[in-house]
Amino acid sequence: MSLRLVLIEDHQALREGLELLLGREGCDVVGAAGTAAEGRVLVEDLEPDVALVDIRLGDDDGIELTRHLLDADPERRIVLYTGSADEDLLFSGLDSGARGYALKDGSPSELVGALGAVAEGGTYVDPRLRPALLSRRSTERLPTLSNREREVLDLLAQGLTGEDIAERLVLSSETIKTHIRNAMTKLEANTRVHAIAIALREGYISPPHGSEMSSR
Amino acid sequence: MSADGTDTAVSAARRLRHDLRTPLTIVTGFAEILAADRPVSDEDRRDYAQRIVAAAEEIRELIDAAKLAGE
Repeated sequence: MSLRLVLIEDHQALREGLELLLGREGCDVVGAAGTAAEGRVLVEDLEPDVALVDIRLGDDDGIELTRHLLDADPERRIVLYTGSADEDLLFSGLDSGARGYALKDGSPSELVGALGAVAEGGTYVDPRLRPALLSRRSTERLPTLSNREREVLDLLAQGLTGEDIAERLVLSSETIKTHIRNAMTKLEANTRVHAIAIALREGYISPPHGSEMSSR
Repeated sequence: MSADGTDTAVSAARRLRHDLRTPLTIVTGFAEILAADRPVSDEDRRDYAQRIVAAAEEIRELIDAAKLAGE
């Protein structure tokens, strides 16, 4: 079954282009909007598998829209989309609760991969942003993660689901959820992808092999 | 240049980078389709080429506007 997608992008030519490009890649673009207000209505009405939200929506703010959408329903899956590799914007985006963060530099097939990973409950951060993730080796000390918590975050960053990890480590899914929750609390992360980003930044885990950081 | 002036220049450069990437995404996206092995109808090929031309024109306008602002 194809991915049901709502696209929120203020640049009309790119919005129309993405509808075509993502359609060719097998996505079902069920709605497209050029403003935050229109996009909010579309997401609420259509409840897509995933919403792709441009961060700069003309006078509107895609990160603010993401916060509104997730305040109403934290289970919504949103990928932020931007032409900027700005580090502060990245962390602000991850703080909003978005599960994905994709750059406009990526190819349509890369974008579809990101949307698919997030639609399946995973996370995605554009691999071009890894230097930004790794650059903030701040001096502030965060509580130390246990070896098990590091191991679980490491496997999440490699793309495994909670159930995959439970099977791999011969533990229950509930135990894995507890480890993830504890790691998120220690790292002061709002979401799993945020926890992975901080763990990478602080050197608790290594960047996953391959060209992208994604987890389901 | 004052700190404010530097901030403004940095902000303008950042905005320009973002603005350029938006039409560039159209150019690369459709060019990749045209360059790939997958079949494209004549009608679609013309449509995609027109989108690339329009996006390239937008990039040119953005560059020209940035040049003017810098002069």
